[in-house]
Amino acid sequence: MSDTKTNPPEFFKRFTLFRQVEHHLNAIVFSLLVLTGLAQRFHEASWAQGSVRLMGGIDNVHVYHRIAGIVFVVLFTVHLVGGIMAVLSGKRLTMFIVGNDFRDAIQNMNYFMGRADKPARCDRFEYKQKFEYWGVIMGSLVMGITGLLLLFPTWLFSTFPFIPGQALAAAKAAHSNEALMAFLVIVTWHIYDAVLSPEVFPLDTSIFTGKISRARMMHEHPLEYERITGLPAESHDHGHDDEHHDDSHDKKENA
Amino acid sequence: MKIRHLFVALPLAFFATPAFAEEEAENTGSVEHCMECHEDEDLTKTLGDGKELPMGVNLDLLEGSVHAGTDCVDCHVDYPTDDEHEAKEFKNAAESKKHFSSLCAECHEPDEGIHGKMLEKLTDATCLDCHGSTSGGKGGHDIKPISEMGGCMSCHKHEMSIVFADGTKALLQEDPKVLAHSVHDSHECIDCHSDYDEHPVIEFASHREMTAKLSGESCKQCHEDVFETYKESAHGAALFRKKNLDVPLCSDCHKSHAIKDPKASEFRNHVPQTCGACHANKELMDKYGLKSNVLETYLNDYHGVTSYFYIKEGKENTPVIAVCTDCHGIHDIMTARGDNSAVVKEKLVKRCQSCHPDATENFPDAWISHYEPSLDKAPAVFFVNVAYMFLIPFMIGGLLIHMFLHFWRYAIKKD
Repeated sequence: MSDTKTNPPEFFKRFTLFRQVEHHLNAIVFSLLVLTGLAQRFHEASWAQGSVRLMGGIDNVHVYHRIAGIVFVVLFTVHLVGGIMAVLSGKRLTMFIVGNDFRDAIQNMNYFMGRADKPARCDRFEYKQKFEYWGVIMGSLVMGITGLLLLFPTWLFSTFPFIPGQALAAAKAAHSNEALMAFLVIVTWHIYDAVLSPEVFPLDTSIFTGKISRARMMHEHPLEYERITGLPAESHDHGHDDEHHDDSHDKKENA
Repeated sequence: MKIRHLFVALPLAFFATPAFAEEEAENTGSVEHCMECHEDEDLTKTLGDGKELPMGVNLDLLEGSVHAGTDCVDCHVDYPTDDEHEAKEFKNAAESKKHFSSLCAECHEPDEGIHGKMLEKLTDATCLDCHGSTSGGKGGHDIKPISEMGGCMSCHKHEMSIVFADGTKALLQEDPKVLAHSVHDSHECIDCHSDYDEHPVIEFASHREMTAKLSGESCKQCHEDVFETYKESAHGAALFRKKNLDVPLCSDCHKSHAIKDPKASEFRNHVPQTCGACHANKELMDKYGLKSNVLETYLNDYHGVTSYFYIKEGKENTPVIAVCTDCHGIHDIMTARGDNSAVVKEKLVKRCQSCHPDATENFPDAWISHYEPSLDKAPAVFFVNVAYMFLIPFMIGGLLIHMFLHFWRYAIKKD
C-alpha cells in the first residue's frame, strides 16, 4: 500500500475473474431467455415467428428456455450465497444502498442540468450501478420464483392447497411483465452505461479485462481512489479531465 | 324412332363408290349419306371465335351408346336431307353444345323431375354437360346411362349450385379427390346421400336446413354413439329441442367431404380456430349472451401460444397441448352456467390431470376462464398487470431522462 501511495498504478483491479465469468454467463443466459421468452409473449410478430422457426420450433424453444432458466437460477443462487456469506463474514459491503447514494443522485441531476459545479463523488459503486444491481437482484428473484412456479405448475397448489388458482396466472403475468421490463432496462440503461455513454464509448472494457484506468478511477470512483492510494483524486481529476475543469469554470462564471 | 341396320349400312358406306353415294344421296338423310363426309376424322369447321370444332363422327361411339341405331337426322332434325347442307354458324363451342342439347327435347321432356327443376336453375348447363363424356363434335354420340358415366360425378363435377327458398346458395360441385383423401375414402356418394337414389330435388328452406338434415341423418347411420352424446350436449339440445340452426352440425367441425382424422395433430391443433369460427363471432355470441373474446384469451395464454406455433409449423404428431375440447368436452359440451358450473368444474380437474397428474382442486383456476383480469375476476392478476403498467413506463422513462441528461452534459453541452 505504501507503494501505491507514492506512485499510484496505471490500472486498478475492478473485477475478479469469477465476477467476469459470472457476468458473461449471465449475459449469455439472459439473451437466450429474452429471445425464447419474448418470442412467446409477442408470438404474432414476424421476428418472433422467424426466431422460433430458426430454433427448430416451439417445442425446442420451450426446452431452451427452461434449460437457460435453470442455469440462470443456479447462477443467481451462487451469487446470493456468496453475498450472504460476505455479509456474515463482516466484509466491507460496497453494494448496499446508503443515504449518500440519494444525495449523489440529486447532486448528479443538478450537475447535468447545470445547477451544480461538480458531479457527485462516488465510491467503489456509484448510485447508478447500485440501482441497476438491486434491480437485477429483485428482478432475478421475481423471474426465478415465478419461472419455477410455471415450470412446475401443480406444485404450488398441491403443497399449499389454500392458495387460489389465480396465483399461477398472476405469476405468469409477473414473469412476462418483469421480463419485458428487464429487457428494456438492459437495452436502454445498461447498454448506454457500458457502451454508448460518452464517458466509456466505444466500450467499458473493465468487465472483460477486470481493470479500470487511473483516469477513470479518479473521475468515476474518486472516494475509492483516495482510500486505496491515500492521494486526493480531485487535483488529479482536474489534470486528467479537461471537460470537468471547463465545466466547473463555466459554472463559476455563471454564478 | 327409326332404326337402321348399320351392320349392313356401315360396310356399304365404307366401300361406297362415288356413283353409289350420289345415288343414295338423292333420296334420304341416311347415316351412310351423312358419313360420306363426316367419316373423315379430320373434318372440322371454324367457329366464330376462330377455334376449330371437330366434325368427324365415330360411329362406334354411337353404337355403344343408348342411342345405338338412331339415325343422324333423328337428332339433327333441322338439317336438310339433300346433298349439300348449309353450314351452321356458332360463335363458340359452348354455343354449339347448347344448340345440340336443345335438340334432345325432341324426344326427352326436360321439364320432368330433376331435369326440369335443375335446368331452371342451371341456365348455362346443357344436356351434354352431364350425359356426354367427350367434348367437341363427338359430344353427343356416346350417351350412356348416368350409372355408366361416373355416376353422381358425371354431373357434380360441373360448377353448379342450388339456390334455396331463403336465397342461400349451396355449391353442388364436388371434387372426387377431396373425398378420396379423407377418412371416408372408401365411401360412395350414396352411403351418406342416401335419399338421393332417384335424385329427387328435396325442397329445403335454407342451405343450413339441408346441412342439418345431412349431418343429422347421414352421420348417425355409422356414428350413432357420437350422435346420442351430441344430442344431449348444449349444442345438440338446442338443435333438436329448439330447432336452433346456429349450433355446430357435424360438418361444421368435421367438414362434409374433406373429413380428416380428428385424433391427428392437424385437426387437434386447429380446434381453437374451429370453435372460434362461431365463438369469436361477436354478433353471433351476443345473441346468446356469450363472450366472444374466448379465442383471443386462449391464444394469449401458454397453451394457446403453443398451439398457435404448432399450426404455423404444420408438423405432424406434435405433442398434445390443451385445446378447447380438452376442458369443454367434444360432443358432450355442456353449458358452464348456473347449476352446471360445479359439475363442469369437477370434470375440469380430471381433465387437467390427464396432462398434469398432480393437479389439485384449485389448479383449474390457474386458467382464469377466458376472463380479462379485473378486480372482480382474478384480482391478483389484475393487480400485477396494473402495477407493471405503471412500473415499466416509470422505470424506463426515469432511466431515459437520466440517460439523456447525462448525454447532454457529457457529449453536447461539454463546453
